Formats: sequence, C-alpha cells, structure tokens
Amino acid sequence: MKKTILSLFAIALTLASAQAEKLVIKGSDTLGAKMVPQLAEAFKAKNPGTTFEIAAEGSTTGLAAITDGTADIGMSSRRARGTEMATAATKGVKMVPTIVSFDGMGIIVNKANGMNAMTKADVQKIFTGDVTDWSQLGGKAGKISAYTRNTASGTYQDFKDLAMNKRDYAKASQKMAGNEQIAAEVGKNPNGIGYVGMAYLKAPGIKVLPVDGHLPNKKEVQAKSYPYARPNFFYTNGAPTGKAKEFIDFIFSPAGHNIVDQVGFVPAK
Amino acid sequence: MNKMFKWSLAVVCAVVSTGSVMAQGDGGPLIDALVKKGVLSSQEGEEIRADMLTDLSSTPGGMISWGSSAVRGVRIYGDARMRYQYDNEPAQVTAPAVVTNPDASRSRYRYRVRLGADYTFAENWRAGVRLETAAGATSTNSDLGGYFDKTGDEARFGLVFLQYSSNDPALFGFSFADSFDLRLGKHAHPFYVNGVNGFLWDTDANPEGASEQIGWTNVGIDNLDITLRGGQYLTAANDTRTSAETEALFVAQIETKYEWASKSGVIFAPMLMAQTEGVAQNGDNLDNLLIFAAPAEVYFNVWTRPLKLYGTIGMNLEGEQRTDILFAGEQQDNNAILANLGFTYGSARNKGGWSIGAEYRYIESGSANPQLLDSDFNAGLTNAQGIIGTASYAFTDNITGTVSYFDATNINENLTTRGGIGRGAGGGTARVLQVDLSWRF
Repeated sequence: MKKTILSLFAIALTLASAQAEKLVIKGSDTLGAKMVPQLAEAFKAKNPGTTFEIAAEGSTTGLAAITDGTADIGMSSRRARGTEMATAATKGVKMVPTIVSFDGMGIIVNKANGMNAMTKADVQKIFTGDVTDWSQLGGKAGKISAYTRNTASGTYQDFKDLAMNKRDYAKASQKMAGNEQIAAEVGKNPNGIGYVGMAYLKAPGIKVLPVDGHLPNKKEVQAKSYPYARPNFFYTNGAPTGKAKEFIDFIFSPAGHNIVDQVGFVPAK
Repeated sequence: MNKMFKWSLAVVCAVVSTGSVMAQGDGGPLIDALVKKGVLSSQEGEEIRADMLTDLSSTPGGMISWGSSAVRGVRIYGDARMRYQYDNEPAQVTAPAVVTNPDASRSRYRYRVRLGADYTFAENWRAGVRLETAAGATSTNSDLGGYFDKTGDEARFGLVFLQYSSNDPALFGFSFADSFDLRLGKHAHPFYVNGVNGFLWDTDANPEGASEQIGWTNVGIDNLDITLRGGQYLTAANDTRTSAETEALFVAQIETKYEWASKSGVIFAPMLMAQTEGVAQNGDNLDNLLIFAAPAEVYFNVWTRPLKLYGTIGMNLEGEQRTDILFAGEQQDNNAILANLGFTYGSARNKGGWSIGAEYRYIESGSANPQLLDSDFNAGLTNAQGIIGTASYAFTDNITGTVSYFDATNINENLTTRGGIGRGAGGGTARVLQVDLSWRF
C-alpha cells in the first residue's frame, strides 16, 4: 500500500513538472532589471504552472538568443540592426518586434552640479568628448566624467543614434554594466553625468536635467516631444505563440499596464 | 483608415523615395514621419520597418532589376583569401620504407579569388557563373612570389550552371514533393557530407553533369524531413585521338533530418558513389570504386553557441580489388574502410564570433576516390590516418581569420605513395599548417 501511494505521488509529481512551462527571456538590462521580473511575478501568480528564466545582459544578447533559438523572447531597448535581421533570416528565423513599452533616456547629473538645463548640442558635445570641462558649458570648473552603458546594451546604441548624431563616444567615457551602476556613479561623483531609463530617475544623489526644455516623463514620451524617447521591444521568432503570447497579452492587460507604469515605463497600447 | 491601406501607403511612399530609403536601409525617417502624423501606430511602423529591413538585408549584394529582358535579377558576390602555408609531405616512391626526400618542407604564400554572379529568371529558373583562381579540381589557390609576376594568376570558370528549384513542385497538376531542385552543368554538388573541407568530397570540387534533389518535410511527425539526391557526372570524355573513353560518376543519397528543437537536431545521410573508371594516384585508370558511406551529425546549442558532432563511416565495396591493382606486388592489408569523427563548436559568421574544431580521419588505401578527397589532408591521397584542428575568428561580419593544422601518417607503412605529384605521407607523416585571412564581398 505504502509503495502504491509513493508511486502515485511520484507519478503526480512527474505530471505536475511536465505541466510546468518555462519561458526563457533574455536581453536588455533596461527591461530585464525591474519591469520584466515584476511582470513575470504577477503573471506567475495568475498562471502557477509557468516558470521564468530571465537573463538581462544587454539587448544584443537578447536578439542573438532569438537567432540562436535559446530564448522564447528577446528583450531589446533598441531596434534590431539590419545585420541582425539578415543573420536571423539566413538561419530561417523571422524576427518579429512587439513594442511592449516606451521609455525616455534621462540625462542625469550629481545633485551638487550647478547645471539645471541642457541643450541637445550640449549633450552631444559632452558624450563625444568635444567638451571635457563643465566650465566650457558655463558650469563650475571640473573635469566631466561621462558614464555610458556597455556595447552590448541597446541603450548604448540608441543614445548614440538619438543624442550623438551617431558619432563615437569619447574615449574617456566610462562604460557601466547597467542603469543602476550609472545612477550610483553619478550620485557619488559631483562631476558625473550619465543617461538612464525612466525607471532609474529617482536614484539617490542625482537630478534630471531637461533637454531643450523637455523632461523624460510619461506625457512627453507619449507625445514623442522628449528627444530621447524610444520604444522597447520584445522580439520573437515569428508572431508570438503559446506562453510567450500569453505573457505579452498580459503586459497589454490593465494589470500589466499598471506594473509597467509603476516601474517607471510608459505602457504601449 | 484600414490596415491594408496604411501598409500600402507606407510601402508606396518608401518605393517613391527610394534613394533615402535605401540609404537608411529601413525607411526609418519616412516611417517615423507617418507614425508621428498618426497615419501608422508605433507597432505598425515597427512591423513595416522590420519587414523592409529583412527584405533589404536578405539580398546580399543587392538585386538589380533587368525588367526588359528574361533576367529578373542579378546577385553579384565574391570572396578572397590570403594564405600562409607550411607543408612537409615527403613522398615515398619506392617500397618498402624508402623516402626519396625525407624533408620536403616548404613555406608558401597563396591567394585565391572567386567572383560569381547568379541570374534569376522567371518560373523558378536560375543560372550562375563563377570565376576562380587555379586550375585544379580540388584547389583554388595561386602562389605568390616570382617578383610580382602574374604567372599562375589566371582565372577559370569554377561554376557554370542552370538550376530549377521549386518549393511547390507539381507534375501534371499533381504535387509530388515539398521541394525540388535540378542543377545542370558545372555546379556545387547537393550532397550532405561533413568534415573539414568536405572530407570525402573536397568543397572545391564542383561536379559536371546533373544533380537532382527532392524533399519532403514533416514526414509523419513534425520536423522530420527526408531528402533524396542523385547525381550523374562526367569524369572523362571520349577522345579517339587519345583513345580516352567516356567515364562517369554516379551518386545517390537519402538524407533523414529531425529537429527536436530549434537549432537542435540530427542528420543521417547514407550515400552510394559508383564510378566507371577514374584516375588513381598512380596515374592509372581504375574502376573498382563502389563506395558506401554514411555521414551523420548531431547539433545543438551549448552555452548559446552551436555544437556539432559529426562522423562518417564508409567502405569501398570493391576496395580489395582496387588495391590489388593499385599497389600490385606490395602488402595490401587495410584497403577498403574510410571514416572520420569530429566536432565544431561556435560560429565565426558574424563579427566577434569564433569557432574551434577537431577531426580524426582514417582512409585506407583503396577506400576512396583521390579525385574527390580533401586535398589538404595527406595531399588528397589514400592510406592515411591523422588529425585536423581548426580555429576561426570573425574580425568583422565579412573578414575572418582561420588557422588549420593537418597531421597525417601512413596506415600501412610498407606501401609506396604511388603518386606522380611527389607529395603524400610516404615518409611517415604529412603535416600542413595554414593561416588564412578571408573576406567576403
């Protein structure tokens, strides 16, 4: 009898684990550090059979994972490049983008910095290295420390496209692994400047500078008036299906929109 | 405004403003403007952009429309390679174990160029030509040196073919398969083989004749594909002045491929190669080539990179008779079996990508056709076993560096090389090191 009960228990356990479905999501740190894990938790609460594997190591890794077939969803804070689309196509993969949210890359400086506003030209000059001291922009003298994301980051590329006229970053700029690290460094360094997603604008020790009079907030991003506003993507191989589709549908639900909003992103409709 | 109209509007606008769209690559400014004006939603804009980008990026070299003739489009492509090669392949011209020149080492500086064009016609027809350096069937290398002279720098046709391919083939209205491919002329062979440089069929050797391929997908179960292939090739033409006769090579293969997940699967593709007569390494015309080979591979991703494990086992069913003639009067053990076993890990197709690989080979004296064997391993001769190691790195999406090392030893030390080319592992070992820099354009 005992053996029978144990066997039945083992079978039930096996069936239960077979029912569990894992969703593998890789890519953007901007999306994967806060927003997607919170969405995943809420989705799991409604779908107990689903588990998540989330790796946030940069948009490039997410797009590559779709091409390689190692993820169900590739998070990307930038659009896939032509070469990435071509590579995917040669492997029989059709990269399909779904805009899941919008974001604005905010320009942050240390709270002690005397600058209170900037122009787009100023931002370009700082990050390309055309100016290297705050005094060149009318601020208090001090060598500018520009913090950027690393090259695997979609934000790194998007900022280059949107804010730097596609010019190269200054050699002296310092590459950080994620938004949190940039915000932390700028918060500690009175001469620091960086850019982070809207979810990180409330970090301690920093302040957000308006650019040409525009701030990265929900209204400006929705109206596309903020110059560094951009869509965030989920890429899938073909149109989303199965659990991936269910998860994306959840993001577009009122509950999903609420989480996206609370984390600091602008929900996509 | 309905969705179809929006898409049509976007595409028409993109075509009208061809210059800027092509320069941007994805029609970005135009789509941005349509999104900003509310003609398209952001999501619709992204879908159109992704489709346009895929179309543009999947036509390397660009497609030129030749609307006024039968040619619908032309794809021009090419590649070049600079190579440093060290080799030491001493020949053994008398048996037993006498080596004429035990140290035949040399350093060579070589290059190759291949320039091709594919012409697309209507109704699934295509034609192609490719010019390439060097004259040999299994090599496209020309040597540098000679104080800047151009000796040996001539280009020859490596491919001249007509191809019909369809993903919905039908005969008298009856659909008989999921794909059909017919190639006529001098063309790349369609057979599945594995290993460095194609192992039993050197990747540089393009057969002359006809190849057919018929495929069925999802046979019985999802992702199980079966492909039949056939080839009839001319290896020598009749010439009354030299009393040469028409000779041919026939090949047949059935490939079964199953993918249990994306980029994870198995291939098994047994094949039969029969030749009426062929030039062996002693220069004689020999028949006795009826090779059964079973190449196979398993592939899947390990730590996000592709791993491929592959191997081949084969036998010349007439290997004993072939060796009896080829090595008459010599010890003739181990004469019919050929095999390889290896792996590749990673991919060097895109910038920053890398791959490594290693392979073991075993080719008995009468087991294979030296006209087709990879010419970099033991000079393409039989009676050899050994290892190959390769490593590649992609400096950009189209510039790749590769290092390869081939190390072969005789299986039967008492057999002479029987080669007229003064190369081969007759001295006990044949070693080749290649350092390549290649670029595609």
